[in-house]
Amino acid sequence: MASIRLQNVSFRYPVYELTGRSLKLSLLRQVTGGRLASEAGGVGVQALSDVTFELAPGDRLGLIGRNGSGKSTLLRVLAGLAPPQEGLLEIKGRVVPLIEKGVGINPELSGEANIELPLRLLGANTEEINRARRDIPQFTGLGMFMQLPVRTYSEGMKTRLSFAICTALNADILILDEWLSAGDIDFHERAQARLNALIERTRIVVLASHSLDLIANVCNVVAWMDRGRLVMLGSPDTVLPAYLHSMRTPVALVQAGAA
Amino acid sequence: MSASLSDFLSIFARFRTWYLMGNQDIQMRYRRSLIGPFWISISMATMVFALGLLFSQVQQQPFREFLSYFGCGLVAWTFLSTMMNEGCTSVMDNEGNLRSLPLPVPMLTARMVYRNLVIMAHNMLVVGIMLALFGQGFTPAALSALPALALYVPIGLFFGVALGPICARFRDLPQVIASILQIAFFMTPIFWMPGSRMERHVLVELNPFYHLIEIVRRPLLGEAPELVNWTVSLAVLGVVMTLAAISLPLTRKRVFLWL
Repeated sequence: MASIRLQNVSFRYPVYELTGRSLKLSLLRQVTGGRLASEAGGVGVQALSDVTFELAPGDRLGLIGRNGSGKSTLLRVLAGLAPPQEGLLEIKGRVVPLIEKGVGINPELSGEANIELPLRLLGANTEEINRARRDIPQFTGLGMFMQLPVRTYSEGMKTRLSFAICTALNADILILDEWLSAGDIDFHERAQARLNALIERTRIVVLASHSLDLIANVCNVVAWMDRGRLVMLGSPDTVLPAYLHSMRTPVALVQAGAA
Repeated sequence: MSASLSDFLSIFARFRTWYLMGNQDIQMRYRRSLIGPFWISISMATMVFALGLLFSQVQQQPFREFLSYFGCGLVAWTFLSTMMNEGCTSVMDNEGNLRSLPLPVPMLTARMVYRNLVIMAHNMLVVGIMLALFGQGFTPAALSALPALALYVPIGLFFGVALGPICARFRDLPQVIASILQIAFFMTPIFWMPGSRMERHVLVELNPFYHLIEIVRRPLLGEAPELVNWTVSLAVLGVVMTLAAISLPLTRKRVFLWL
């Protein structure tokens, strides 16, 4: 069974290098969008504060918000690699985090030799790896290039390979950052089909993106984040228009200009 | 506590992951060379022979006897001290992976230990050849060096688990450890012999590295180690285990913040 439950989750990044609170920090506030919290022993960036929501099988959550609003941190909290300092986090099911591109890929090794490690890092078992070995050369269409070192690949080929690798797994919960939607045009349709199939067979999907079209297409729940807080949570029909509206207000323009 | 334990047990559960990473490490270091990892053996052989020749003259020791003594001690020291040095950087070395995947620190430390185990095996080849050519050859007593080398493995592992995360927090700590190990190398009877005047000297007897080296070196030279050598060595294991048991629960949730 897959489920996600967050209750009053807060996450704070300590900033060790900064000693004095000064102009730099107030500038930082504008740039990061995070609230700068000060406390004994140093300064930290409050990346998430008091986030509460629950997801059940069938939910596809889209995270929106401007840069520094806490989307990436929330993805990392859900992926289990950034344990929150406060609040309750309950995740049931197999989580596959696809947060960064090309994790575990060694450019010196051939495409073929690069299939296993990324998948192992994501938690794949031997059976899944064997399936991926059969399926990836065919899907990517890399042909003979599978035997050559990845450093000889073009950017497009690298993207194909890493896309194919990280979509080869089955997950209960999928954590996606938006890089996954990339790819050249010829490949794009096949990639889209594969991604849709992956999302289809996954119980819960969390997707962070700046593309509101993508969110509207994929998600049935949208969370609007701002400065680490959950501003609005609901169906795309209600949240997306409200988000768009706020982006057009003068305040948002001023902040966007400052950033 | 149970979370720390399951972190630790990931060494067994995910052995294929660190095994693969360790193998890639070796492969990367010696790629594009015809003899591959046997470079390790050759460079160790050269070093042992050259320095053995020099120091046997300086200290007016019989060359054959000194060469065996020096070679066995150096290989044991290299194995132990490299694991300690690299244990300090094992979290930092995996920074990229840790930013986007939840990977337990003990598993990453196992990668480092395994890599050094492979290197040690190549170095032992040199010791074997050297003892056959210049030493007294193979004696059944030499087999008891195996449990001693096996003891180095958990020492290196627990040391890395204890210090890897702390070194990620305090970035100057690895340099401090490296300096201490450098001094320890000169203070430990490896390239010098504690002659009759230094026998039972406090500087030797109170040096835990001396005892750790002795449990490997003595069997290889056909002698039985003293009980005190093993007692101190096991005590060292106890200390690093305790450090790891304290460090892991304290650091496991914070490692992400220190990357």
